[in-house]
Amino acid sequence: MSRTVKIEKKILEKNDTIAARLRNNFAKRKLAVINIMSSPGAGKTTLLAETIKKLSGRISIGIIVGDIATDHDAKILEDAGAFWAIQINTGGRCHLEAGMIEAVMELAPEKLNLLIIENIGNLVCPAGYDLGENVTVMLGALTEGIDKPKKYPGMYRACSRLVINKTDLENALDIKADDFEKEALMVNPKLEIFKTSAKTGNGMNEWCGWIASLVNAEH
Amino acid sequence: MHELSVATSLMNIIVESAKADGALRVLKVNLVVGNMAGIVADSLKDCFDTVKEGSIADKAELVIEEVKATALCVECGGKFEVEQNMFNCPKCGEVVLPSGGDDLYIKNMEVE
Repeated sequence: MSRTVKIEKKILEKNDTIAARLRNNFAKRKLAVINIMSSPGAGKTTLLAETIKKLSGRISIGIIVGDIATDHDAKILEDAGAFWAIQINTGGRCHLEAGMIEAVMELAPEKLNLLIIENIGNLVCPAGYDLGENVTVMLGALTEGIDKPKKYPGMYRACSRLVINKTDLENALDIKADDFEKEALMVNPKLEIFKTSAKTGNGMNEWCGWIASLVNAEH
Repeated sequence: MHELSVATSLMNIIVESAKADGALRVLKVNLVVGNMAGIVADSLKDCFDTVKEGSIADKAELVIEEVKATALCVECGGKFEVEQNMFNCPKCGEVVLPSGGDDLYIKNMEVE
């Protein structure tokens, strides 16, 4: 005789449980945490390196970098002045999970004020996994084309902030950052938007000012 | 794209629940998946067929109930279901932000 067993359980419950525990621990140690996501090549590492150069004098910044392979990015961010930088190589997995963050946090120094998690470059999967962060940021680059928000709405809706990067290429690409902004707001009207060129420094003061404001803020 | 890791997590829950219940075999698993959860039902079924092999759920059928996100238009007050690729109110054209639709859970399973 068959019978029905009630379960009512989230499939990613394990990830959510670990993420909740992480969030609690981050709050206890007064650590502001950002999860930054983008497609490969949007400029996450360059943006973060420039951000660290501007802020590392006043804030101890820790970085967790996710990539399929290599520790290339962690080295760049350490050289830029990150207080702590660690690379997670997922082998092939397309997103970071809370368990991975919890494992590397055992190695994190006490002194950190800000933790930035650079997720795997992918516009689909990372959106599904809570890492215990306070803020989820999407980085889009003009080079991707302004159709991306509508093509990958899940990611743009999962974030509360958007950085539109590579604004120095507006003329070369014949794409306006304002048009990218309009498209993104059609997908998620609640997005707060920064426009930056990590290369020329345009817009970096506003972005870095916001990052600095997260430290010591109530979460 | 991460359906395989979702299928693996699903399999873990099935095995744990079946053990706790003392079931001999899992016949059917009823899932609820939201249309904003970033999960493709067919792909999840294929991955489930791979991970279930040789397990207590070897012959189990995966049944997926799709639920949809909804939106309330701030302009005209219209309430409607939202698809992934829908960005505007169908009545007045105002930009809308969907809520819900991110469900991804096991409701129950049939065992013997």
